[in-house]
Amino acid sequence: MSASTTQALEYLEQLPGATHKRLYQQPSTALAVFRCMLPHLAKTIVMAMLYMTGPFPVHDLDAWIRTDAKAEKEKAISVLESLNIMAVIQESPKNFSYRLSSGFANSLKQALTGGGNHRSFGVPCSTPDKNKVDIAFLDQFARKQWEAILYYMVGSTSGLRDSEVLGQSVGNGTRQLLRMGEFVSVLHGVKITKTGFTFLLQEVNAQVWSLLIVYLKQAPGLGMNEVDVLSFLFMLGSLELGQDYSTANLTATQLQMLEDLNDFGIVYRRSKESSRFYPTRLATTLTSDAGALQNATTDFDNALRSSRAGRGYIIIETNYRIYAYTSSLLQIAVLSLFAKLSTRFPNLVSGKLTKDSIQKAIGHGIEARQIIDYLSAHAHPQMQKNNPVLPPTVMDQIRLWEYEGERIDTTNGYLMKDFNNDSEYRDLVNYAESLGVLTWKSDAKRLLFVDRIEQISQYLTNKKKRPDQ
Amino acid sequence: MNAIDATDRHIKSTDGPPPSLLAIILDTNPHAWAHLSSILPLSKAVASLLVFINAHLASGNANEVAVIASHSQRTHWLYPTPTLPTPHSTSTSNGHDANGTVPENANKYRPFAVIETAILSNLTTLLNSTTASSLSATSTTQISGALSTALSYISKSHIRHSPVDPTINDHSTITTPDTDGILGQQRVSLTSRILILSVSGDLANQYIPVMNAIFAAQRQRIPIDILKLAGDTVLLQQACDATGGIYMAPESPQGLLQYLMMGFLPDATARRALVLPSAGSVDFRAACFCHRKVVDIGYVCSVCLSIFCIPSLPDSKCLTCDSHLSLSTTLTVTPALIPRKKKKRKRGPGESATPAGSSTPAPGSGTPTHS
Amino acid sequence: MSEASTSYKKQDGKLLVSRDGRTVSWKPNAPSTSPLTIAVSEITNLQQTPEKSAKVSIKIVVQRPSASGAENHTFAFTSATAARAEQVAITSLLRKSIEAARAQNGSTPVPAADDGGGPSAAMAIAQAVSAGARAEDNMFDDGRLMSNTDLQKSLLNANPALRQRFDQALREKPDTITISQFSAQFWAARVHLLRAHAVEKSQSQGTYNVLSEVKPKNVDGTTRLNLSKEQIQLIFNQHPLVKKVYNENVPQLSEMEFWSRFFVSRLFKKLKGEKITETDSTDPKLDRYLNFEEEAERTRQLVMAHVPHFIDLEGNEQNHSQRQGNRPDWTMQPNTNERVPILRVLNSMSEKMLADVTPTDADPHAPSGIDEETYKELQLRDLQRGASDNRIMLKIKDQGQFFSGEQDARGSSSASLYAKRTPDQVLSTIQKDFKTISTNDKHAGGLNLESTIGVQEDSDSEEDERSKTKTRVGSKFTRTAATAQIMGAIRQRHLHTDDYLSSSSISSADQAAKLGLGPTVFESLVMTHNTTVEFLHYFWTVFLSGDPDRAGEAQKLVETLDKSLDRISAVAKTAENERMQKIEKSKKQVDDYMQRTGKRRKFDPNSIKGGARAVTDMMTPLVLAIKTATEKYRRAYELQMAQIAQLQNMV
Repeated sequence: MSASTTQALEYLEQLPGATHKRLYQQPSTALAVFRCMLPHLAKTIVMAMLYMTGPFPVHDLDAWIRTDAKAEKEKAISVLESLNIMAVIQESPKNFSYRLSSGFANSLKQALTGGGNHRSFGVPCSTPDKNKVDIAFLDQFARKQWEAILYYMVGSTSGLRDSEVLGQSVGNGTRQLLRMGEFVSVLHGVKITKTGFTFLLQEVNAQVWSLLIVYLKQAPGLGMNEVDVLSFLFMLGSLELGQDYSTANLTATQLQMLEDLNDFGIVYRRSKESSRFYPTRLATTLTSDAGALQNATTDFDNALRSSRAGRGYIIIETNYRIYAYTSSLLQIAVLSLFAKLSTRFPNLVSGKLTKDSIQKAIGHGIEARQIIDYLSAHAHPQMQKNNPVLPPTVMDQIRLWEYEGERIDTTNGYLMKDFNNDSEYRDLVNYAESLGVLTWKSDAKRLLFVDRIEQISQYLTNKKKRPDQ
Repeated sequence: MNAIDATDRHIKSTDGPPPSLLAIILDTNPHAWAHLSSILPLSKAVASLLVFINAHLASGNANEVAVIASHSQRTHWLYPTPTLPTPHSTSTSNGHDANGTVPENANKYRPFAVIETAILSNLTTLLNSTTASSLSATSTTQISGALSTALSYISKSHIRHSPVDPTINDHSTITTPDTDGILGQQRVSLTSRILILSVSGDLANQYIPVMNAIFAAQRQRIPIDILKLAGDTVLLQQACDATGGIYMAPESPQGLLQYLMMGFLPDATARRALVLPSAGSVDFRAACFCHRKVVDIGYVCSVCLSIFCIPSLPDSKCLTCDSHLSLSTTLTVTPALIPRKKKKRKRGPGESATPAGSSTPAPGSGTPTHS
Repeated sequence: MSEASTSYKKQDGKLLVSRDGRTVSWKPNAPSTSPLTIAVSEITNLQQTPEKSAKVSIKIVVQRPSASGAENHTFAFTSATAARAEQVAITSLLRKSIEAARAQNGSTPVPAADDGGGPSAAMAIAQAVSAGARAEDNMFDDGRLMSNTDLQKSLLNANPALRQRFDQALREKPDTITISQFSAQFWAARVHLLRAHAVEKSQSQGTYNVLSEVKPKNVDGTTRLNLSKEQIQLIFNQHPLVKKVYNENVPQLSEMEFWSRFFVSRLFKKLKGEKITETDSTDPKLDRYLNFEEEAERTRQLVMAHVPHFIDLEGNEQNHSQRQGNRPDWTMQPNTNERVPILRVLNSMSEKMLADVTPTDADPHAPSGIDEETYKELQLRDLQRGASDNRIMLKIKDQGQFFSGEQDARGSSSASLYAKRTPDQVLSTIQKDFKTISTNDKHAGGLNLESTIGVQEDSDSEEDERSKTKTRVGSKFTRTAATAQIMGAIRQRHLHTDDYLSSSSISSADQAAKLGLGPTVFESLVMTHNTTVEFLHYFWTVFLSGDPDRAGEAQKLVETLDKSLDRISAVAKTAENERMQKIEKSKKQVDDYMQRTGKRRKFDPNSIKGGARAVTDMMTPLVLAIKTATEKYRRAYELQMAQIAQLQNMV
């Protein structure tokens, strides 16, 4: 699981159980959920249980997982339960077991063995395409479409003349979507918002997901079937780049989607009537995470970012000077969000991180963490050799500049109080801590504050059911 | 609350676990599989293995797999299919283009289908090219060769995965193998492990090369997992133990799939959170260098640490390093001495009529009644 | 060759060994010096420079009947090309001659001279060369340690655990073994402990800086001193000046008064190395000595017996002054700068203290000032290139060739299993089987994995088809078995790691409780285990010693081992009794509960852990070891009895 899919996971988690059930009927969806939504330990647990003949007793699972990995276990199980993949069942008064949801298990088995006749991994075209396009073309297409979106967003802020022009090609539907997702606000021209900045600094993969989730949320309003949309997205993730696929098996919703996705650059269709479509790299990496993108064998970033140096292009020195080997306007625009750029050469821009530039970015709603993440993710290969990647002084200073402005931190959440006894309080504190939702506690007053309540309430209900534990 | 803590500087550039490379060595010794055919035919085992490989690939998006057949006399790549060095194409590591067309199937996740096709076709080639005469020559398998192949493949993959892009500066990557230990500590870009699905016994005659491979794996921190369906255990159990892998000898081989999915699927990242199955007691005996026998007590050359099972070496010289090694003068005495000296001893009291030995009625045989 | 060009006392000349091997003579090239002749029979020692050293020389030690002391003659080989070869030739010739002379005389004991002179002479020389070093090592020799009962006693006193074990084993030892035999056995296994203890004991505390230790206390306005006799002694030793002051003043002052005045005086501060400030009280009598240069001290320091050339600053200054070139070095120059007195005082203090300690890391009898030594000393070792490789080259041979013919298919264990099928059958079986999946391949969509792995969740009805499903690949039954085995292995690992953890952190009582044993039973179990291991140890030493005199011992030890079995079963019995009591108690509780509430609680006696089973479980390896030992003994014994019988028959 990676940062790029966290938001997708959050979206999935809040879906009702019935939707989950319907989603899991497609083996491709089950596989995609397994591949990119589950924490690593959860995958291990699911796979171990997949061909197990009976349910997995709770105490067996406890024995299997090391005591010092309790937090990871709780996390894994809570994700599995919230996605309705696994549930606790009571076999006898004292024996509790985990059981995989049968729909999910069957679909995953089918995905692994290639059994059944669900045709959910995409139906390739049986006839060869007269005007077949190659991978390079697809990459270029995807880059053009996606960068147009980014230019559109960043256009007004960066002050670069060209970018606004480049952003003009963005379709109306997409513009609307960006507005609905509150990435931009259109009052007097396009203005990028706080969410928009966050969006910009993300990995491409995460950007795609962010946009798609907005899309998903709008889907019911547009008369589209949420399950159809989701399973189509997951199917796209399992397709082969460079292969043409037939539209014959798609539902009406999915056909409608194809158009929008074509706009985003996620799939390529020659025309709206064409009976075939090509997934682009944006699609085929949907269900991969950052690890796959950094895989040395893919030149994904190369293709997408048009930077000649490959994955990374930024060099930062301990004296806050920044050198970016790039000629891409977009990258320069992004950099100028938080750096004071001074010189531009044909393949290089140089500048400096200053207190002003960073605080200006923070004023726009960009977090120090995001800046650091962006810089280290795009660090030049020579910088990648260092550990940590960025000079520690620079990282610390960026954070300090941020802290200057914020002395108060607010968290929305739930205050839990009035515990019957101390052990009850401690138990819940420990559980919340292991889930990582505990924000604050006071042992003296037996109060605790959590930022998420779902698992806690689930836990409390379970506990009520099981008085012995 | 606003303290700047040095510990959170370590921002991981990649979230989630590093990709995991699983090198599977499938022991395809035809003798052993024929022997096992009533319990677990090779075809079923391969099918289970394919499901397992799919599960592995699904467990991590960048996960990779390499499958090597350790046949009776040679090792054979099953996946990726090695591309023959041709003047035109630079050899790529995953040459699925080399094996013809992958059948289109909308029910199968395409990466799974690619690997499945490659493995099956390569395995077919291997079995078809096996002749009866080559089988009669040996009854075991080329495990040492397969291990070395796997290790070299892994180390090649490590270089490919190292954070420095190999295409940018070739010179630095060439030197990385030396500094691998240091680099590996800094950032794990790839975790690897080897799984040996073993059916053959009689591996002791490859003791030395296998041991060398084990030590290489140990140094590179590559665990070697063993799934032992048949055959004796000595050597491979040591491989597991030395490298921190999982050893398992299934009691019911028919359940192979479940063994694989539960016992062997967790990669290095997952294993940190799991209690690994115990291998039981490990047989640490070594095989001697002279007869390849597994020995309880042997003789060790003080210069090169070669092990011998007999003290009478030709010319009193170590077979491996030619150093003078007079086992016959010193070491032969002790073991041979027990009976001989004891004989003397018993005779001694007998002759001198001292009460010790002979006057006591058979103390040895009498012991049960004593107690 | 019996002639070599050498230099003797810096004169060039020729060293000759006479043809009959009786004399060695040296003739100078220049006639100014007198020639030298040595009779071979008078040579007591012959030393040569090591093979690798730069200098090539031999040293002949001669004991002339007329003279009382030994004479040393050192000859350096001067030949530019063949110095080493000449040295080798001369020494080997000399060795032979010495050997021959000794054999003739018979006066000097010749070590094993009968089997060819060569090696033994070499040994003699080697001994002579290493004699100095060996004398010290002998202290920690196994034999000496074993016979040193005082050392053993002190070790037992120092180590209570060992003492306990010793006593226990002593109590249970077979009667036939004398205490001395027993203790010899006991210590034989623990020589390393003895050695460590001996080393520990041989270290003693050195002198310390007294002045800083003595702290006058201010009680009721008067300073009170607590000075021991030893401390005064040490003060005099370390500070001769104080001795001088004391001698000159004490009759006038009382002893007490002198010391109390001394410890608040400026002189005291100066000696301690503290800074003297204006506020310090003055003392007319003692302040007189304040500017008294420790002249004697200084001269003693300056004429230090032997300043290593490497750090001889004065010498270096004369030899190669730094004053002209680099900035003069002031850090280590002797001066009277009083700004940081503490440094100087501490330095001289340490120097004095070290001077009292006999150096342990140098050979006290080693001659000093030998040319070679000086030469070595003056070498700047850290600037030198790495020494030439002094390794033994390993000539590894291809291991495939050893006895290669013997290992093939027919020699192995599994070959017999495979022999049932001919290679052709094997091949056809495999290929036929494999076709089932590879022909599938040709159908659209590739192999149908789902059916091949044989997993059928719904069709498996366990009960009626058990016999069939048992053998089918991928059946429910086998998968359940697989899961069970993995879980079993995981539990086993838990057991191991928990055990491992417990050994370090959990007390023995907790360990016992975990096993379901009472602490006393557990203790006695541990005890029995320890002593039995001890006896096994003795048994194997005796058994493998091959010493006919110890035959009786071995026999008794076997009996003792048998008794150990009894002891183990006795412990098991106690444990079982304990467990029965527990069961009774639980039963009673259950009954009480039933009477009280009328409800019946299930009670499983098996749930009470411990008892004989726990004991035997733990003791299995030990029992196995005992059985192996007795078995081995019995077999060897019977064999020998048979041989004796045979011999007697022959007689």
